[in-house]
Order: sequence, then C-alpha cells, then structure tokens
Amino acid sequence: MTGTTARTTNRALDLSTGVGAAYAARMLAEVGWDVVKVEPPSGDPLRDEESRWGGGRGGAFAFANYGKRGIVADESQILELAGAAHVVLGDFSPSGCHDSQISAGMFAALEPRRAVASVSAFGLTGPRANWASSDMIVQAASGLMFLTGEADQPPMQLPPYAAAVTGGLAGAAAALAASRSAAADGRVRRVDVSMMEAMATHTYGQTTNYVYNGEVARREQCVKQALRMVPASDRFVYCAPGAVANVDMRGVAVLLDEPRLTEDRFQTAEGRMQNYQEYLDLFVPPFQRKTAQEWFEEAERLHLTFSLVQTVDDLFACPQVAARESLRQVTAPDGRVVAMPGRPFRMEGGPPEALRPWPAHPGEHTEEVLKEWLVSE
Amino acid sequence: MDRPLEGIRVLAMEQAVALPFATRHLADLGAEVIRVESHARARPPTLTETDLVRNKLRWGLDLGVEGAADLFRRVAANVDIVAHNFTPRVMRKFGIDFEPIRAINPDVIYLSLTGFGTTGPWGERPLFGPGAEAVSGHNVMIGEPDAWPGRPGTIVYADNNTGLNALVAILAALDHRDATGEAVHIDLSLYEAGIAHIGAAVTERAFGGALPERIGNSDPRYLVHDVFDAQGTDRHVAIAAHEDDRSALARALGLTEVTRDAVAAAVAGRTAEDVAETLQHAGVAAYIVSDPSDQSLDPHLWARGFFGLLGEDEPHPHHGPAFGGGIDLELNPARAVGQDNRYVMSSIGGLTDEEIAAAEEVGSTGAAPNRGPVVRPPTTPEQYAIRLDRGELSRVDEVHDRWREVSS
Repeated sequence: MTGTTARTTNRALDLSTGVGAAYAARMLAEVGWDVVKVEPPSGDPLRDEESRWGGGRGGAFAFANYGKRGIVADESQILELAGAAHVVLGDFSPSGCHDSQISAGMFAALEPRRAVASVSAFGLTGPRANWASSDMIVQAASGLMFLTGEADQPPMQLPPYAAAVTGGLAGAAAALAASRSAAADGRVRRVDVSMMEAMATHTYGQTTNYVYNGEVARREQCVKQALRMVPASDRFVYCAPGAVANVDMRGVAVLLDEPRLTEDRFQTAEGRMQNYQEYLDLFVPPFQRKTAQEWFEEAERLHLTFSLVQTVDDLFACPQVAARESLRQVTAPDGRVVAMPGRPFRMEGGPPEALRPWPAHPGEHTEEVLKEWLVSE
Repeated sequence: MDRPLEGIRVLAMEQAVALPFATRHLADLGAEVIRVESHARARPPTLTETDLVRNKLRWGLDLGVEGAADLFRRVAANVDIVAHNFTPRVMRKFGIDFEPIRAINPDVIYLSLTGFGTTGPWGERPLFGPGAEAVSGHNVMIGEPDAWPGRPGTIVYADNNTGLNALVAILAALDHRDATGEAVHIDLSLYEAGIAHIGAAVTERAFGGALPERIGNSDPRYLVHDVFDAQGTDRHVAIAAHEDDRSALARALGLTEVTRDAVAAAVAGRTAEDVAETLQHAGVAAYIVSDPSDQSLDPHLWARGFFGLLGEDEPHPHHGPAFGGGIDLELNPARAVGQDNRYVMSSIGGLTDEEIAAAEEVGSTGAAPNRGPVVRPPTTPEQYAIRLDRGELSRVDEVHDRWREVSS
C-alpha cells in the first residue's frame, strides 16, 4: 500500500472550502497529482463569491480549484476515498470542518496512504486555534499588516487572499514533504499548517530586530530610502537604482538629466531623508516627461533596475506574460475562454501540469471517481 | 515534520533572499545545503541574514577567477539539486546553466530563479523583490484610494513567496526524478510567482469583475471590515464582521447601531487586546494588528513552537519554517564564508589536495573571516529620536526580553 511503485499517479483528496487548503491541493494538481475535490451538496460557498471590487463571481473558486475533479460524498465515502488517496488536504479547524460539513476529529480519523495536511487560519493547536478569522484578520495577526502602508496611514490590508495563498503554498510544500517521509517508512504523517505562521515568516527581520534591539518597526514612507514609485506621464513607474536602499543616485541623475541629484547629500538613504523635500522636488517632476514604459526601457539601458507598477489589466496586455504564456487560456465549463494564472513555474522535464478546468458543479465527477478510486483498489 | 530530505544534496549559488529562503526550508527538511558565494566580495553579515544562512554549509568561490567554473562543475556533478538566482546571462557566461550541468549530472534538478523567467522579451532583465510586487500587480491594490500605490510591509515579501513556490517545485521534481530518473529544469520567476499570488483577483477580473484598485481596508462584502485605532500610540485592532455577526458585534461593543463611526468610538477608549478578546468571545473575527513586539510575545505562536532559539552564547528567538506546526527546530548558527571549502571540494567534488591548493593559490576558492552573527551597533538616543519622529519606528523598548517569560 505504502510503496513507491513507479509512475502510479499520486492521488489527493481535497475536503476544503475557501482558498487556503484548496490552493495547496491545486498546487498538487499542477505537479501531476490526480486531485479530487469533495464539496458539500450545496457546493463550496466560494463558488458564489464575488470580488472585493464587485462582479467576477466564482473567479476565486476557479483559481483555487483549477485542475481538480469534483465530487459530492457522504462521510463514510470520504473515509473510504481517503484510504485510496495518498494525501488528504483540508481545513480541519472547528470552523473549517463546519464550513466543509465534515465531523470535527476528521483530522485524526482519516487514514490515507501517506499524509493528512491541514491548512487553517491559526493552526489546530494553541490557545487561539478556535478563533474566528478572515484573510485580513490573519494578516493582522501575522505581523505583516502592521508594517504595510505608509507612515501617515493606518496599517493596510494586502491584496485578496494573501494569507490563504501563502498558507496554501506552505501547505503544498508540507504535504509533499510529509508524503515523502511516509513513502520512505510507511507511517502516515499529519501536518498542521497555520496561515498565520506562513505569513509571519515574512517578518523575520522585524521580530529579530525587536528581540535583539527592542526596535518596534512600523510602516515606512515608501520614500524613506529612495523614492520607489513615481507618477510618469501615464501611470506609476517603480524606480530603485539597485538592490539596496542605500544605493547612490548618480545613475538616476543621468537618466533624469538632473545633475543636482549627484550632490553628495543625496547619495545615501540618510542624506535623502535629511533633505527630503529638496530631494522630492528634484526627483519627482522629471518623471512627467515620459511614459512609464519609456522610463522602464531607458533605465534598462543604464543598468538601473526599474520596474513597472502594473494593474491586473496591464498583466493581460504584457508582452512577457504573452511570450511565456504565464496566463493560461482556459475554456471554462460554460464555454467562455478566460485568461488565468497557470502553474507559477515552468518545468523542462518533470511532472505534467494540470490539464482540466475546475469542476463545473458540485458532484460533476462523483460517479467516475467513486468507480476509479474505490472499485479498482 | 521530520527530515524527509536527509541525504539530498543542494548546491545553491544564491544571493539576496528568494533562493536563500527556499534553501533554508530545504535545510530545515534535512537536506545538505551548500551555499556558494564569493569569498572575495564577502560583506559582514547583518543580523537578519543569519536567518537566511543558518543550517547551511558555506563554500567560498569566486567565479570571476579562471578555473572557478570548473570547480563548480566538479561539485555540481555530485549533487541532487543545483540552484541559482542570478540572471540567465551570468550562468551561461560561466557555462553552468542547465544544459552543461545536465551533461555531467544526467538526473539533476536544476532551478533557475530569475526576475522574469529565462525566456521572453524581459528574460534578461534583473528584478528585485519590491519591483516584482509592483510589476506583478500587488501595489496598485495597497493603500487608501487617493494615495500613491503602497507596498507589502517587508522588502522580502515577493522573495519569500517565490521561495515557497521554489520549495513546492523542488519537492515535486524530486519525486519525479526518483520515479523516472529524468532531469528537471525548473524555470521560476519573481514576476510569475507574484502574478500567481494575486491569482484570485486576476481570475475575478477575467470573469468580468471590476478592476482591482486601492480600497483602503474596506471590503464591501462585509458589514464591518477595517482597522480601528485603539488606546495607546500606534495600537490598532482589525475587525472583519459579516452581516450575520451584526447583533453579536453590537452586544459585545455596547452599540445601539452598527456603523463604522460607532465601532471606532467604542474601540478608541479600549485596548486593542481587550477589543480582540471581547469580540472573539462573541464569535466575531478580530485580532490586534500585531507589531514586532506583539509577534515576538504572541502566546499562540509560542505555544505552537513557531520560534526556535538560535545563537551559541546568547540564544534569541528566530522564526521556524513557513509550514511551522511543531517541527523540532534545529537552528545552527551561520557559518563563515568558506568554512566548508575542503569538505565540499574534496568529499563531494572529489578534488585532490593538490587541486585544492592550486585553486586557493589563484584565489578561485577561499574563505572570509567569520564576523557574524552581528548585532547592530547601538543607536544613540538622538538617532532614535530622529527615527521615531520620522515614523520609521513605533517605539523602542528598553526591556525587550520578555519573550523569555512567554517561552517558558
């Protein structure tokens, strides 16, 4: 049962609703796993979710569940299917079990071939394991939100599902690692990934500075070290002369044809902060002369690592995205062709990427999956 | 989590954060990670770099010196994974890109972690994490509607997210190699990992949703979704309440009517901790907006074993892996650049003593003194006053070792 028989497709059962564990399972689908999503008969509520900005109903569901087959199953069938799966994923916290309409205690009861992986807001243990959450609440708990935004603003939320996707990636890694351990010795592993911890890993610099030095870092002005985003004639451009904040501005002075930026006082982050208003007056206005794309190209010629500040619509029109097919043209179950992010990495050799869209409706593949997974065992 | 990568060898020509963050996790999972870097250009490590170097072997190699690329290939022939985060041009120049390495190591897993990918019109462009957040669409969604674009709160955000993608890709590639004996080239970019990270918003837009833009902390799908100022300086609480939570929220905060202003007024006179506890008791999602002090003292993180202690003389808490959850953290302090040269070249690369001596003689390999881990020199009260005035710091705590009480 637990052997490493070559070239049998690994199977994952995804019991989750929402984005976190579902994205972990999608990542497995993107590396060649046969992933089956179990939904409550009423369907994952995410199917009906609209975007934060309105419209786009079901987009998040499609994104998190790309490449999976979908079934509806009762609890005894779930236990049986788990036995045929290598890995089971879900949010096994009390609220996660409630949303997925599965029994609390499922995390310990499931007996797949290799591993059970939970991805939940706060993890399954600890004093706050049962706390209510949302993606923004996890961002706040993680320490990242306090640092996000400008000095004169309150802490700011990140883009939608930031914590869930980060937790999902950590969950996928944990599931693959646990599966590898179990394949080696035949013992089922249970891994408990917390989105809060996955997000907290972003702030190791700030917590380390606190425990060694007592400094409570906060939101900084983006201009603190070198002004990073500036309005060009059409939209914002991201300008950083180099990898580190303390880099000098001589190259930028050439780019902008503004010799005063070569003065010594503007060559360090501290100097720019001490002469902040004068620095801004010299630095910002010249960007109005050209488009962001023009600055991006000219900076490249001068070996300055500029970047663009793109919207989602800019991504759809980006030549680099088109050349690499970073957005996958997908025919949705209703026949629409849409562009959505594909596998985040390319592979030469290696396992195949996901080749089917998200399940069109709950239970779309119930019959075929029950037949394949249970009958053939 | 145990150590499933015991016996797996990783040769990482790494810089900055994205790849070091990924290989740190590989080391946490038991892999033997060799960090390759120039001993000639070694700089004193900063405090936080110790987190990216811990648990790794260090090989000093200056690829600019003739013969160094040969040394790299000798070692690369005998490892499982070769990884780099330089531009494609650099790797080609030294003959250590995927094809030459596969020629000497037929089942190698080779990771190219670049700014925009190894192909396409932007393929040779360099890119750093903060620029990646901007170009992949994050920054236009962060901040107040009338403000300039914002940024995620750390300069390592895109790097770390890309590192997690690298981790997933490498683990999957290892399984594939074990089953088939095939080499795998993973071509991962900061740009595409960044786009995938906001993939829900991209797909919603593709499905006909409105264009994502700055919207502050609001989310119209909720009854209340915002950050509120609590008692004290720079203390905040985040609240996310659905329509279903209306009466629980009103009762818990003593409101007659649930409006943003009413919630703000009720929160203003209370501590963030009190509000979060009260609302959670009523079943409403809330948390203090945890600052670096709160985080290092968070009872939940400590109870779950998220922190490990690192440092020989005076151990301090450091973060565990992103998948956390009770891993027995073994945090070995950073070693010096070049400290493991002999082991790497002799035991893995099979070089003779004479060959190693010749390489040392020309300077293609070498060591730099161990200067770390470095605690930053104390800042003067005057300097702190300036930084506080500018809003760079929320405060500076004289007593900042309360984690010792929480950890016990």
